[in-house]
Amino acid sequence: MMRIISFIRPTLVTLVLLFLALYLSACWSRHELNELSIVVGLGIDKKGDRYNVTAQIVNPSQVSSKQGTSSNFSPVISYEATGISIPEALSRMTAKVARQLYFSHLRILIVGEEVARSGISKPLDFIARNRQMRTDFYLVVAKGTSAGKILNMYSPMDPIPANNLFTKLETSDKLWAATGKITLDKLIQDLSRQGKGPALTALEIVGNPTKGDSVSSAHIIDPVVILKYAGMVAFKYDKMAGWLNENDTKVLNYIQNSIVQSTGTLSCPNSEGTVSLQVVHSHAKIHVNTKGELPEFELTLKTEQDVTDISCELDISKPETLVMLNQLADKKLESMLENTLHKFQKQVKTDIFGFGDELHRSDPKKWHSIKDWDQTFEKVKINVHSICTIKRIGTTIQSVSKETKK
Amino acid sequence: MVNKDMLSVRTFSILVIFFTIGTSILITPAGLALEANQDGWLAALLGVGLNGLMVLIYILLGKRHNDKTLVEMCHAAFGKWAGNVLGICFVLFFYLLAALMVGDLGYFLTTQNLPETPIEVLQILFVIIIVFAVRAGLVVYSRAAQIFFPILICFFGLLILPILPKININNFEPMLEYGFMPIVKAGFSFSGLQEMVVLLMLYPYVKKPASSNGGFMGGVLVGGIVLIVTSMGCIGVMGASVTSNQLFPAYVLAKNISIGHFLERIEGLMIFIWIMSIVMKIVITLDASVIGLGQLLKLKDTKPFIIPLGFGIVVLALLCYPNTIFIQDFLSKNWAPFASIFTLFLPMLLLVVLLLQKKKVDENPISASTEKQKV
Repeated sequence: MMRIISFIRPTLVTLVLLFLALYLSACWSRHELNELSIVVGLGIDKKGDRYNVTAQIVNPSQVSSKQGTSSNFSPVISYEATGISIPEALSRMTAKVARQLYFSHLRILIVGEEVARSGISKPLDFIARNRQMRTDFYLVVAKGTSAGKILNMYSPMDPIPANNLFTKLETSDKLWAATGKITLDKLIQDLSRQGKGPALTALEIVGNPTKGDSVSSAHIIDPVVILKYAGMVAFKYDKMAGWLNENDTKVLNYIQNSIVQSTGTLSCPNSEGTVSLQVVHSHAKIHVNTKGELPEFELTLKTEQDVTDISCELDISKPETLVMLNQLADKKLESMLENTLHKFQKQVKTDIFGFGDELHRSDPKKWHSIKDWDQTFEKVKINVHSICTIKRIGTTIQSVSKETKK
Repeated sequence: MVNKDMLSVRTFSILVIFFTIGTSILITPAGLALEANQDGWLAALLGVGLNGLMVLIYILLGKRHNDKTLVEMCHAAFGKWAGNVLGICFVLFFYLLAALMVGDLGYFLTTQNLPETPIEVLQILFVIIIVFAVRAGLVVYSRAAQIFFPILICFFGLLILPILPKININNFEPMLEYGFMPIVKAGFSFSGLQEMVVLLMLYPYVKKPASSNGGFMGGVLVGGIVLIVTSMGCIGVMGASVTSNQLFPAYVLAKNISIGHFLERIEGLMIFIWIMSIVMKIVITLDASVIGLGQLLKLKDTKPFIIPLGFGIVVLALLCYPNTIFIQDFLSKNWAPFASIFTLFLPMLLLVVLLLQKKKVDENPISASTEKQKV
């Protein structure tokens, strides 16, 4: 009897251990890499009252390091499907795509211009609700074309166009300040605010789009077609209200304090040519004066700039010249700010800069007494001041044109 | 009570910290931001203060009767019949609490990570671990908590430090836009999610040097700070409106972490923190209801009851949790008032009765000793 019992116990333990081993493999909802289609770019267009969704999918074997063998197939493939809602279209796409779509590595979401005009909040809900979507991809609007066409364009340098767009946006946002990288979180945050409208970067196709959809265009050194960021799109609520050109976008970035670096030029005061200045630091501050019936805003922009190029015979060695350049830069910045603000107050009529938000923060009572901020924004007075300091002039003193002996 | 396993004060504090963080860390920022908007973090501050006050009541209770669990205190205060009824209420409350947390666990995992795994399988897997821990006993799982604690703090640091530069101060302004009422409301519902009263079932097993009360309070404060910092992070990074619209805001916060594009996608750590703390909280709560049941039925050994009770939890969790919105709605509207019956009013009543009785007992020492023998 005792022997039987002593035999049962180890057997039971072994059985239980074997049973537990089943769990260890943890393969219930497994998704192997070779069963997934990694979506890197997603485009949303309108087709009548339906959505036309384009997904750019990586072809893993073509992106891997074996460059020699990879010229036969395209590194990415884009599929299209139409549906009443985005998830329906994506489900319909499975009839075309070999593997299950996987969104966690999405780099860029492109919204067609038509969708932007008719409202972006409806198609965005799926993106915000889906558990695979992260918040680190950027949203852009296709300018003058459809999102689907943009995702069909081949990109030079980077085999994956969506990746190319992602890094391009990051670099230009850092160095040129005429683009804006907006993530989903930020966009939804702006959409839910009354005192600040959202703005997304615009993306356009430059060149001949009919030739850009083939890998063979990579054999040409001067790219046939290029995807280029072109200013931004201003939204009123969730509908597109107008375009921001390069200067407007810079102003927006100045006011939002999202400038890392930017470059501006001044024409020389006494002779022909220009002086280029690089903005290395910038800090904008909005002060709200709520004494009157309408609130008044004081916008102060403090910048630190370096001289990067002089193409005229300016004598930079004198301190007075720097003072003069300072004043010129101030004037230029002020007129740039004023132009843009005027345009958005009187023409586009939407507050994408966050003046309303600033009022809300500094004087909630006054903010609640204003019923319609959009109407009020057209009438408020905004005073602009620029305080610019030029600190460095690069490694040489006089310009090459001044040194040139005539 | 035979064979009391003793806990050191520090171990008890760690259990209290786990208990405070469990469930709350993942979901509270949403409720706070929904009620109090950008002042959610102030509400968290207030909620932690309220918790501190409740703990004060528990400490007073524990001081008077430091060898009795909550159920025994009920007996001492109200006699056999009324005491039994109250005790059953408490035990059922703990049991329901444990079931709701198992439901939470299942719904989080099936929403965010394992959508294709049946929820029952996940819940049963976790209940197996929980039953195992409860059977092993207080000393064993409190040691496990001690081992997990440094990991928990490290992961929390890894989560919070990278998001610090992303916090936008503007998201906290304007302060007190809608006055104090929303903050009080949010603070109240916040403190309703930390049912510290459960810990009174374990309190008799703590060694009681002079500093033991500080241990309880300290644990609540440390756990509270973790929650306040998490809520501040959520509101500061994502803004009040985005935070309030998330089912699991802290998880989305973790998705925002990105250091130079190489340290990112570490929201798994957040899951680890949460699962570690919620499992510990369920273990404590289930253990509390098992101890309570044992004392109500005067059982010598409660071990045979643990497995059936554990699997009852799975059933109850599936019954209580029909869908995500139901529980969201129920928790935000009814839970805080419902829980406050057990976390605030009944303990207060107990305290008052016991204080009055204490005077009587002092006058009549013989009855006091017989009372003790009965229990």
